[in-house]
Amino acid sequence: MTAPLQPVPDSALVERIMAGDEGALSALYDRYSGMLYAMLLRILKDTGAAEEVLQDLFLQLWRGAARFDASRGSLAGWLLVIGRNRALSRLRGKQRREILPDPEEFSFEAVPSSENLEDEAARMQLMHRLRGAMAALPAEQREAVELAYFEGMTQTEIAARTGSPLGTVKSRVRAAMQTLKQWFDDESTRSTRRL
Amino acid sequence: MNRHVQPEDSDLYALGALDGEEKQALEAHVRLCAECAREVEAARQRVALLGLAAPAAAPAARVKEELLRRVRAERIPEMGRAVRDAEPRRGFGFGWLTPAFGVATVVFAALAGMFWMRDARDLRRIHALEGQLAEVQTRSQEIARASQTTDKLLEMPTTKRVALMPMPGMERARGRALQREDGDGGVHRMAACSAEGQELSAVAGSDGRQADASVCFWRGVDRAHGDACDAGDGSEGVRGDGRAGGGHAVADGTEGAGGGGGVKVQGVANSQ
Repeated sequence: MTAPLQPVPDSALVERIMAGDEGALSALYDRYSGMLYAMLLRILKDTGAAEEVLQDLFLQLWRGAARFDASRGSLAGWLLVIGRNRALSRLRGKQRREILPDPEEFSFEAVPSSENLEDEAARMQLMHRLRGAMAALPAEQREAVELAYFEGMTQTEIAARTGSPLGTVKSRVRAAMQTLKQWFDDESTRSTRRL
Repeated sequence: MNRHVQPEDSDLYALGALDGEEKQALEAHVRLCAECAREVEAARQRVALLGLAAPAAAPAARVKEELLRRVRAERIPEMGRAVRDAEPRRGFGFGWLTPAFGVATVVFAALAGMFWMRDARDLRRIHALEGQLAEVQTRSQEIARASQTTDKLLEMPTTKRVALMPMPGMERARGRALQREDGDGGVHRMAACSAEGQELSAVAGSDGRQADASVCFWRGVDRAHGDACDAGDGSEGVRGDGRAGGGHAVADGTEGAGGGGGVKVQGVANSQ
């Protein structure tokens, strides 16, 4: 039985980008553009805007690959953080300032993610299971988390949007995030066992 | 906030759900606590994964084509240099007038003359293009050198002010940055930037719009942490009004309302 082909690690592709290899950028684009575009489109609700942010994100990767340190965090995590940040800033324009800081380009201190996003099958499975986990949340909790994540709303803004008391909204968001954190912890454990 | 950040607060912060005072208290603590800074960064990556729950969608193929076209366009100066280096030298040497080619040279001399005028025109075009190429390369080198100089100077604890002039002949752009030392040898760096492509930590946007964001970088002795500043109300950090154009941007800084001992910083950043 032939062992499944292992994907080229992100870190190796980033090194090739640093050497000027367009093929490596192309490979990373093929790997992550789908998940990023889906997130960007959900936030911006505009294909043109989502495409623009997506393209700029990878252009920044091309220009700044040297600053990426794989030992400090996953590339997928970086792309998601920066992509979301930019999309929300663009969405809200001058209504509000930066939602969260960019993690100083590629230099951030996060522990490496145990989630395997380099492998397409594992990535698809994770996306599927995560959608299930979100769907399993009580509707009010899910709505609150989605308003925060995809529309960049604070708890006060969510309360104003939904007409719920601020205290109630805080409880919902907190409960939802605790559930999701537990879910991620369980995922990490499962992922570690599979390795 | 003197107590350590609770894990659920890290998640709420990463989600962007915390409001004013809660957010500022957490940020103030995280600036001084490496352990909590790590927790917040881990939460940021974890929470970012929630984006994977978005309905599946795929970008059009032309997006990738356009991306690669832009990448290649950025490489033109470099490629041009390589091509020039590899090209055989055009010149007026006489090495080709060897006996073996003597007769052939006479025969083809008339034909060569017919094409001379066209070749001369092409050569002029090539020289003009080479001139443009050299200019672009020079500017790129100047921008890179300015950027490196800015970064280097900003890292020096004794630096009080860094000022770099805008590139001659290029449209001026504005942004703001602030460097402020703290008592532990760390340096606060704040720079106005837009949400669109940045090249440096002290940058302005590349899309020609007014920047609507500000970023503060806290550099401690043993760690670096990106942190947010509210750029809009002057309560902390600096007001962000970066604007870029013409291939470069200038970020200049001013002291935030909450800062003491602020240092004005001006730097040149490369943007498209």
